[in-house]
Amino acid sequence: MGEAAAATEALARIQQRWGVGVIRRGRVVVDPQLRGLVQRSSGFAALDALLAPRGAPDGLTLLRGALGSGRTTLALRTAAATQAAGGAVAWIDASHTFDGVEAAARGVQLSSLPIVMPFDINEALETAGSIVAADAADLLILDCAGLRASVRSDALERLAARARRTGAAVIALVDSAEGVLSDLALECSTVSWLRIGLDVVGRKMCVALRSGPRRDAQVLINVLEPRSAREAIRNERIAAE
Amino acid sequence: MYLNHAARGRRFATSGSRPSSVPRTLHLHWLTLHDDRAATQLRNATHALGRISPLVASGARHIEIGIDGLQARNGDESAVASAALRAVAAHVRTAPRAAIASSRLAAAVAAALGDVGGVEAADDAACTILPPGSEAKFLAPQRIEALRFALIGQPPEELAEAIERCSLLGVRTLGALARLRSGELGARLGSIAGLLIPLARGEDVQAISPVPLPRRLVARESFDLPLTSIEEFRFPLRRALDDLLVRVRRDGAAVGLVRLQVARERGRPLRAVARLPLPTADRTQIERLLLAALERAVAAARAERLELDGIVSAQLQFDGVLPASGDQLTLLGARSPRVDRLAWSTAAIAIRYGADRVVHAEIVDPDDARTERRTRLVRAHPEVGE
Repeated sequence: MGEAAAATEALARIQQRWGVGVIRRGRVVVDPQLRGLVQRSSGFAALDALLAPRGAPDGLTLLRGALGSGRTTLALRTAAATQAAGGAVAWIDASHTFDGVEAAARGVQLSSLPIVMPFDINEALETAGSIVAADAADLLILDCAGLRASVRSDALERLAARARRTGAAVIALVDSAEGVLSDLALECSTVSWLRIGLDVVGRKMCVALRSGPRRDAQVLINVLEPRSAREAIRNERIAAE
Repeated sequence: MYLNHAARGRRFATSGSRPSSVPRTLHLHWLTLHDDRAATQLRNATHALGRISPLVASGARHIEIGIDGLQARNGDESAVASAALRAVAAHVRTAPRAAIASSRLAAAVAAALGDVGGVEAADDAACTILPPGSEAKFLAPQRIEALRFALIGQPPEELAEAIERCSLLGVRTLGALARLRSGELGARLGSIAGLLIPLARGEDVQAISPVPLPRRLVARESFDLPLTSIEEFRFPLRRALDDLLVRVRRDGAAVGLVRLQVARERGRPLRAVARLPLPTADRTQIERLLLAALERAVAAARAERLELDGIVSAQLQFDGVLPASGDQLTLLGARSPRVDRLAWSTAAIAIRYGADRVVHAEIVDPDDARTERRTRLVRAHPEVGE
């Protein structure tokens, strides 16, 4: 009998004698420098400077803001930048509002972005937990914005703990998450609209850090809407001609 | 009617000019095999040689293996022969005679007769090696009866009759046969002449067929004490997976579809099917998907609770055993090791919650005014829909 078979046999006997709970899988501790860490940049240099060195940290990042505040845009840019760095990204669309055109416009590779469409928020948290526990994603985006049912803070914290253990980042898009302990909380708001002539081509966003070492720092970023900007420039040219 | 088999011969070697790379064959020949269990021993030895090369053929007293490409792994041809002889020695007590040549007939004759008169062959204690291109010279002085070692897919009686008729016609050596034109002999011997003449010239007319992969592997296990949870079932499942995967890996293969059938004390059996996102021989990934599928099957049969109707036996079946095909590595680009694991993890979700739950977005018409018509959601794992 080979060593592996003998060990399996021994484990089976121990389990049979003392119960299934007595054997637990240990975790191999690996030097983070050897793990090929993936950069999870936000896609905006000014914000990356605040989130140095790796962008979105291991664990849970909360992205809060009102409807139209730009939090989905920020999440999409982070997903695109992580994919570009070779990372594995999954999107859990609890609110069932994923817009493929918008995502592609932000640089996301749709073919390599699996989207999980859970039935409800509990299933969303369960699937997120299974992906994180399987150490299968560098970045997991949990879109719970606009849900009627509130997200349970204890479930989010458990998810955050799992993500910290496996070195994954979970970005949760929420309306409000009071009392949730997160590794980073960002609050998005739209300051003004960017225009070319009369056409709105983008927005000026304010992203404020509500937790973490640089708490209360703020950064202003300009987000162009690729399609509307292109159209506006084309219209300008037509008007000029 | 005369059938020209020269075209078949040309697939492996040409009569006019020999291709630069010709298949090399190692022939192992046993002069004596008195043991009653000789057939079983040869079969086991053939199986053992299958780990060295997929091109293995065996007869009553010989085994042939194609050794092209093995030099990169084992070293030169004598090292390949040594490895093969070591593998065989574990199963057959009698040491065989071994020869390597670019023609199956030349290798067989060299191994069986052990005489390479006139040819500068590397002849160490383990194996006789005929250099490529010397086969015709080696075969020329051999008696015509040496053709009985030829493996051409014809009935042995037909071959024996052809050899006898050649003798009667005055063709006594393979060299004399090689000098004949196929038309001349074909008029007297029939279609078999088209096979014998290339053989006498040291050309192969039939390649060694690769040993086919087992299309289906099955493991069964019964439990004296019924198992009442999936956690308890995990260990026997793991054992069965390990047993089958050893056989799959040995052939350098991978699995595409895994079926599990679980019989219970009461109630109908539970069936779980895991169609894998990629053919693999990785036990952890297969186990994860299979358990997810089993949990789903248990949930579907909610009325018949597993806690009450314990598992008494299980049958694990690998369907679709395929040659393993590795992932193509991306060049000049970073790639997280999690990229591979993500597909497995989402496949497990699709099995547990339904194939519609994991999708990819595809852009249909980005300019459509209605958002829902701009994109289409397609299943990321259509294979789990079964």
